[in-house]
Amino acid sequence: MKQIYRSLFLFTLILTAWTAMPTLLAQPTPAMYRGKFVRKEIRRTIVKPTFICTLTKGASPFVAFEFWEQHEITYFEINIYQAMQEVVREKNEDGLDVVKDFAPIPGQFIKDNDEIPRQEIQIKGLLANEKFSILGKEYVTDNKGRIYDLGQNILDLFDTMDTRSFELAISHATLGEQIITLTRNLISRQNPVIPGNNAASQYDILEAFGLNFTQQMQCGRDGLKVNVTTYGEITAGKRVAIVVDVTNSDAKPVSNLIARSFSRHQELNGKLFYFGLVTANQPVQSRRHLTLPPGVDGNKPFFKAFACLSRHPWHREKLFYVWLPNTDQPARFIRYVTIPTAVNAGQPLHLSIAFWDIIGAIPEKRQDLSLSIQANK
Amino acid sequence: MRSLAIYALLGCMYCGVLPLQAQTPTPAATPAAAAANANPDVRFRALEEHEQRGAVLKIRDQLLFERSERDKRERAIVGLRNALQGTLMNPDDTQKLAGLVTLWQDANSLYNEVKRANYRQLELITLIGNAKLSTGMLPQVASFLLDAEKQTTQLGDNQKKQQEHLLSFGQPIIMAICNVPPPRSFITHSGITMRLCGQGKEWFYVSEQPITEAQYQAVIQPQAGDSAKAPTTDSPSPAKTDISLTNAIRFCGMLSRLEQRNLLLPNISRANRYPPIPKAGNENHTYVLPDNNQLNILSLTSYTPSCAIWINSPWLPNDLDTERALERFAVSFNIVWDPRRLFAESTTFGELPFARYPQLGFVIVTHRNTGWYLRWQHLLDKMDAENAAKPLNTPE
Repeated sequence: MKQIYRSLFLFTLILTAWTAMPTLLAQPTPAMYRGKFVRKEIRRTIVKPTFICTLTKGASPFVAFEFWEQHEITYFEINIYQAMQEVVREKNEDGLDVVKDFAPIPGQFIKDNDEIPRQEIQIKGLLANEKFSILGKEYVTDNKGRIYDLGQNILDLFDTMDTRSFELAISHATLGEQIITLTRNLISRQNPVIPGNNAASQYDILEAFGLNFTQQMQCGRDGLKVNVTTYGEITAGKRVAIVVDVTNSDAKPVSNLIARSFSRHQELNGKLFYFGLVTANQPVQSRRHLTLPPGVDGNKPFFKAFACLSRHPWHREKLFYVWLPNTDQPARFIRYVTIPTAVNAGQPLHLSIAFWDIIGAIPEKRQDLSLSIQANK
Repeated sequence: MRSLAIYALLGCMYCGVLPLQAQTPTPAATPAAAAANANPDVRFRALEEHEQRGAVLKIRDQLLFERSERDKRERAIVGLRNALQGTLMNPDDTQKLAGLVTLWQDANSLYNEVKRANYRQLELITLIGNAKLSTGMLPQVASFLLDAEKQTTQLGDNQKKQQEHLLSFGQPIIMAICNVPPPRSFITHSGITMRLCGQGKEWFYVSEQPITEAQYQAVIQPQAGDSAKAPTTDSPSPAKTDISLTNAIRFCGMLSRLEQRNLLLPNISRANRYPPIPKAGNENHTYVLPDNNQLNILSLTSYTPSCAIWINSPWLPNDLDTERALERFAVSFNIVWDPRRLFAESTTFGELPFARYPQLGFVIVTHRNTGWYLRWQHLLDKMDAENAAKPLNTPE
């Protein structure tokens, strides 16, 4: 028994000695120091798909949004440094280190443990045929990633004159929600008191309509002419368009022009029409006509290119088409209303369109309309 | 014999046989005085006595007459006071007015009588004064003249008091006339029946029914003769609907001008025959659309027009935004009162002034003085006609 214990003890001793030997015999590891910054390394990446929404210009009288997919990428990066070690340059007579230096250790790097996040937005492209929820209603973008507020519900929000901004929440099933602040600035000043303030908002609907609501120092209303028409079947429950056209034949522009409908029927009451700056012989929404002689195809590249370059009227004899800026096109704004259902066929509906500009009300230009409800077919 | 000769001589003198100084200015000298003047040393005692006696008799008769007239007037004044009390108790307003006018006229003529008595009293004083100047008066004649003078002075005082009583009597009559309430209804010259509505100071007249088509046409396009009266037909004319507020106001203006023209003409010729009434101004005789205050009164009564009607007051919206918008754009809505809810909404709502509906018409209102003054005018016309029919009385 004693021999077994003794053998066992010896075995253990030898084993321990054998395993400890390399450690005892090994050279001590040299200390590593952080040297120069080498590079960043992305340790991990988080991608959050989302969307952005902008107001589209030129879609008056509809507020139009354009949707783009974007990725919010968050990179968690760490810094990589060169590993440096101490190198003895000189020893003294006693063998002690007197001059030391730091030298990089080839192939060795030190990684920082702290992750530094970095965000990057990548626009991926238009979101076509995607469903969005706006004001509780579902909309689907068209193939250009746009949604048109054909019901003019956004405009209805701003029909209260005191409402200057509105926080609109737009949500997507997977891309999350965005809140944009729409504004409707009826009076902009040319030189704002505090620079930067009162600047045009990215989400101003009047800017999106291409209307100029900057307050003019010199303005008038003597040449203002207005006309109101309706389009559509005037039947209970149907939608009709109220079209207001304005022109100005005076040298002085009309500044900050708006109109409003008044009626005892809530469906017809309180609709605002926006015009802004109405200058003489220059419509707000100018269109250009290209008049070509018969037989000439205006879609040919030659004509298209020439049309883009030229902005001057050409005499008909010199060139066989003229470029006509359309000066007689009135400024126009359209609101769509629903004919009330509580009124019987044959009953008249009365409404007034009244006008206001920067000077004040323009009662002499008020247009009174009487519509007769037709029977449902 | 001697007396007979004197009387014969006097008779000749009176007849003007003998040449007398006929150019003597007024007063004509008594024969005795004339003779004395012709020959100051000649005096005709009997003649003088006769003249004195004549003057005294005249003074005595005059005094008696004035005293009896004074008593008559006193009784008349008492009678007027009693009659006033009785007239005020009359339940019929038109009869009350007629009675008050008659009382005023009686008081006026009594006052004129007192003025005439005043003139006579002055004449009497002159007579007495002249009589007192005569010489050789008997003592009883002298004392009589003194007494007559005193009585005449008393008569004068009495007349003054009577004048004051009569003047103070006129004002309460006019007040009583003005306090007679307006008639419950009247018919305008255009044939529109107006009904009294409200209470106290809030009284006004409203047309019994909404203005009919016939009444509207009669005023807007009056026939020859300018009577602007709607022709009477067997079937009642329907209410004038499908009319805007502007046209309804225009109708009121034309109606007011027509009615005021009919009021003005008879006024001028009345002079002072009737009491002056302060309500005669034309500013209250206009016909207009009812306003909000009158609507509040009408809605509390049983007045229910057959259609919705325009009210000439702006409609105030419930929300501040609409109120501000109306002000900013200078637009106004007017109140429409629809007690029968023909529009299936609340009884009042706002509508644009140019709006027209088949169920929307209008009524007219006028100040309470209009009915009062029309009744007054009819009364005076009637009294003028009665006076014209009476035979003429020769004034005394």
